Amino acid sequence: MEECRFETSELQASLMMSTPLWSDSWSLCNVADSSRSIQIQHIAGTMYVALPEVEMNQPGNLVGLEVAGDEFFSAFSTASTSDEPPPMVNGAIRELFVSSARFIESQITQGLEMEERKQVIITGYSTGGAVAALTTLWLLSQPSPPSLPLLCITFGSPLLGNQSLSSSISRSHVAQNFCHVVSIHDLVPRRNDEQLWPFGTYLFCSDNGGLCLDNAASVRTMFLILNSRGTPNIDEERQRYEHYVSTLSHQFLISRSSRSGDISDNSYEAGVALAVESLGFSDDHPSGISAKECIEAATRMSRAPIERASELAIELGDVLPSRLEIQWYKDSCEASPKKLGYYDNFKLYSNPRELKVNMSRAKLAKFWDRVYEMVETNQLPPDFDFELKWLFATQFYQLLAEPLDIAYFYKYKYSRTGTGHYMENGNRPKRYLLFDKWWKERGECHRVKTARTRYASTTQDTCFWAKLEEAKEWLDDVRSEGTDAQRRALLWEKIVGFESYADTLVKMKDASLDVLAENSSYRVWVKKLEEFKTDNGIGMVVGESDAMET
Amino acid sequence: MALDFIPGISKALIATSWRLSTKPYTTNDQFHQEVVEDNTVVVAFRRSFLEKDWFAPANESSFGETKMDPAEFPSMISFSNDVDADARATVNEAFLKSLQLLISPSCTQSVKTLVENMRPRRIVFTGHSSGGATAILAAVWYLETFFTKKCSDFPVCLTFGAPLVGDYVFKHGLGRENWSRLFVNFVTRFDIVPRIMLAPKASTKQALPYALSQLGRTRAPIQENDQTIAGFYATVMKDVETAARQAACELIDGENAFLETFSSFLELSPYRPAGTFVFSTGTRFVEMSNSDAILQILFYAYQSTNEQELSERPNQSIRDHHGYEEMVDSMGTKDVYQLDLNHFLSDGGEYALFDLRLSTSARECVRAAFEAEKKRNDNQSKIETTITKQSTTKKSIEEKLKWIEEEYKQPRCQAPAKGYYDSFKESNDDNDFKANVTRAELAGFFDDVLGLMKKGQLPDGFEGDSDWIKLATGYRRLMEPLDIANYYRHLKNEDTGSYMGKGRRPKRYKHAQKLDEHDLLKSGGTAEKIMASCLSICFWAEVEDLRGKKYDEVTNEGTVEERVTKLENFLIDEKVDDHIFLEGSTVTKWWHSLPEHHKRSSLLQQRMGYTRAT
Repeated sequence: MEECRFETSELQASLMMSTPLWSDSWSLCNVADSSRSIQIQHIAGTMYVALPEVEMNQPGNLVGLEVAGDEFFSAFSTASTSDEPPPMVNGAIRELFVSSARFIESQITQGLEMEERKQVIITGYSTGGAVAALTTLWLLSQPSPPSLPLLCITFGSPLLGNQSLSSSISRSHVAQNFCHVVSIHDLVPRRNDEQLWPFGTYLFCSDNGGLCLDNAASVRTMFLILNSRGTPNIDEERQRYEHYVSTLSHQFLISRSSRSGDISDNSYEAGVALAVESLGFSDDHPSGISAKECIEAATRMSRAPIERASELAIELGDVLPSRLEIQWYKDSCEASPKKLGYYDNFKLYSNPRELKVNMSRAKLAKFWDRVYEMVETNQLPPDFDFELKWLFATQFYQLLAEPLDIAYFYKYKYSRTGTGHYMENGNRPKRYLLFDKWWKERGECHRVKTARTRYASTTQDTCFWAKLEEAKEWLDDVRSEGTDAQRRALLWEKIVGFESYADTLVKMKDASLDVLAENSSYRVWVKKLEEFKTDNGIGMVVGESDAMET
Repeated sequence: MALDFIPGISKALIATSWRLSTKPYTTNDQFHQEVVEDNTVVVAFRRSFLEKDWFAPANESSFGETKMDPAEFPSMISFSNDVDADARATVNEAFLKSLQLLISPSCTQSVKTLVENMRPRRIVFTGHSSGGATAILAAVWYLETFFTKKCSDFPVCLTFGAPLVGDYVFKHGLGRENWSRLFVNFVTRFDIVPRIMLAPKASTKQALPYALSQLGRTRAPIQENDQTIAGFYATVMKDVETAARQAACELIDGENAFLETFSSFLELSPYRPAGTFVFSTGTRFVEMSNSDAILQILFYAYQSTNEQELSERPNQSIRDHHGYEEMVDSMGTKDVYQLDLNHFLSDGGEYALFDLRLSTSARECVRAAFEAEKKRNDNQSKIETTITKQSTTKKSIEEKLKWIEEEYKQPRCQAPAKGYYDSFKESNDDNDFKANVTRAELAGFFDDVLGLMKKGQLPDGFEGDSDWIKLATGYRRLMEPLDIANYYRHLKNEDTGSYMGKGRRPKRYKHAQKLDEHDLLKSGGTAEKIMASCLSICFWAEVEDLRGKKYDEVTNEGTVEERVTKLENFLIDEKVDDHIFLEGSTVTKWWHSLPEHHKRSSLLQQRMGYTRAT
């Protein structure tokens, strides 16, 4: 991995503090708190919504983000692959949210009608901040999310929910819409930090400046460091934020140099030192040392995904010949006098050509499994699957290679009593489930909807062959003597289902030539079916499935 | 160190430029001119301190910006940007208007007439304050209008305390054409004017007319403790800070999702420094051309070490806007330090920036700017290595292209073969497979390069380099037919529509074509020649599309009959390769499938060996 050259946590904090966004948000929070009501204001083309702080005597219990009986958050995608507990939030905060959500939504809709630049900042101090965050999350998670840019800025907000909430926010690509401003002396934001997890970007402020951290693990470490420094006896937390907003943002024209005076030649180290100083820690004090380690770890964690993604892009180029090899194999099978498609050829033969193709198949599978693993463990940038390059690469790969994976499965692994079918018992590689999901969510829109005039170059349902293998078995069973009538009827229903499915696929020309090759196992199956029908006097014409009703 | 920003620019010439820039006007004239050193003419533009000359009154955008017209400024464009509107350079509309007034035919004192009369003498465009902005745009216009690659009498543009004029694309365009070196901007340390354009109109609106009027007063003593002025400077510098910090964050951590969201809420100035800047820092001059670093210096050089200094800044800043006399006088006596990548790498800029006493974070940001430049240069050398150097594991790009040309294309382009297009489309033998792998590898390489260009991770001059244009054009001519063949072989037109349709043709080819067309234009090529350069490859896609259509069909692009005729005319007029007409070629087969009555009157009869059916 390339070494980090620069450290931006302090720079990013300075940027934020230089903008009117944070001072305007804070002013409106003050108005909301003193009037104890929701405040809305338009400043320079941005709509600000501030939620008032509400006194809470006891910490609320955690409740599910999604509560049966109200429709809030039903659309929030919490899909996870592991057995994670459901996302939970502070119940009292959720109640406050429920009481104001619809009102805020309608205010935003109305308020934006008169705005030209449509963007909304939702803000709040303390508990108001937590309600602001939950409101923002709700607006972002609606099925047709408002296309307007939405940013949540909280000041001294208590933690909102559990670890699952934090990780599902990251997975849904909305973590970047949250910014939590936290004074290093303020205890409220880190109360209960063993049970509750932070999410979004944290801006830690002290009299000396600020620093930004944007992954939950680093923020938690910072909480621990701050906890270990003991509790300063400070009552007027609110005034502390006031002080930061008014002084830090106005000191910008006075240059601030590292106290160590001698700037390190290594820019990265200098940046880390600056960040530590911005919290008012000195780098020889234990807390300064741990803060330094925390910042360094945060940099590694945020850079690594980007570097991994660029390494993968190079590897993608390296496995490309393998995909082309399979493509070529497919083409030459279709042109060969054997009149078998590449699926059947690969399944039936084990000549040097097939062995070579199998190596390519395995190489590709290995590469894409790694991509899958990295996606599942959040090791890649959050917008990885939004890149068209990767979307199309997965699609092309899957269309071409999955039939061979199916062939391989039925050639070597399948046993009726053991493994079960390809589509059963998790036999289908997980990577394909993920690619299916990506394509469904983001890929379909790239297809033109006109009817095909020729057969597709690859069969559009990549599981076609697996379905056929099952249908083959059904047909064999129906024909076998030992099957009882009830089961036979059940099987027949399935056969008819497949027949009509395959027929549509062919009619729409969504099937490729390998399916239609004269000796392909599909054609063989269709022939067998016809024979069976003739033998049994079933005069069903393909497509008219109601004939079976009789 | 000598004063040699540009060979041939003497101290005397700079002094003359300054004198003319500030020479009072008694008439409605918009510029002064003076012939000096027998073959050079200095044209100095009039400055104005009226608000309407800084922000066009009718302009509603946040920074008074507008897009440049590519018809008038064909180089002020980014070729790697696919969205046409974003690809055009952005400039300040008020400044552009003042230029347009001077070059319009109705203008009594026309710059156009002047420069036409003065050529081939070398022209120096100059101006102080807003006059400098006009000078910059006039020089760009002059270069665009009169210069081809072969010209030698390049103009020069010298500005004194000029506001920023254009955006990143503007700067990129100057860099690509190798014109950046012709623009030299002198800036005194605290002059506010080069910083004003970094603040949105809205934040300075109220105080601007007054501030400009103060800046315009050259003699009258400045009132101490003027609160309006102090407020104005604080506001501008606050916005300069945001612009500089945001740029630095993006430079270092461009892929940070939070930064991106957060930045989208800010009103960020599009303007960026372009050309060379010469700062006077006190005891010395510092010369820089790295736009990112200049932006950081514009902010950090203004910082003070204590409150007392800070309170003096506004007045100092007005003084500095008129401090160029002193700067010009001290040229030759004060040292000039070049702060370029080489010097930066050797001493971190310590020496050159000594006077500024930069803070730790300031030095971090300047460093980041130079590191980014180094990265761009490194990317370029990596690409150059991949093109020429053959390694044991990978063939060089040149080798691959040579193999396709000599081993693949040529044998297939002689009868009885059917041409390399059709041979590839059918892909029957091992070499077809090999060619396909090579095609994919080359595509990967050119896609990667385009990706770097899009992200601005190559030097601006890379795209303008004639070797690169030659390589990319050669690649496009040789390989695009194979990509078209591949597209239609896999029936991708059934999935996603025609190859030439929106978003289907690979961007690497579109980009290579744009570069080629621009190169032809800049070497004085005609419009017809430029058109033909595109068609000579893409006609394959047109043939494939027409194959699937009925002769009497009407398509979105016109009737099939018209399209057929147009294509035939092209095949007749242009020198297309003979192999296109080989028997068994898609073109030949397609033509023979046309209706008899069409073929009878077709211009291609002879070429196709057509004899009328009897």
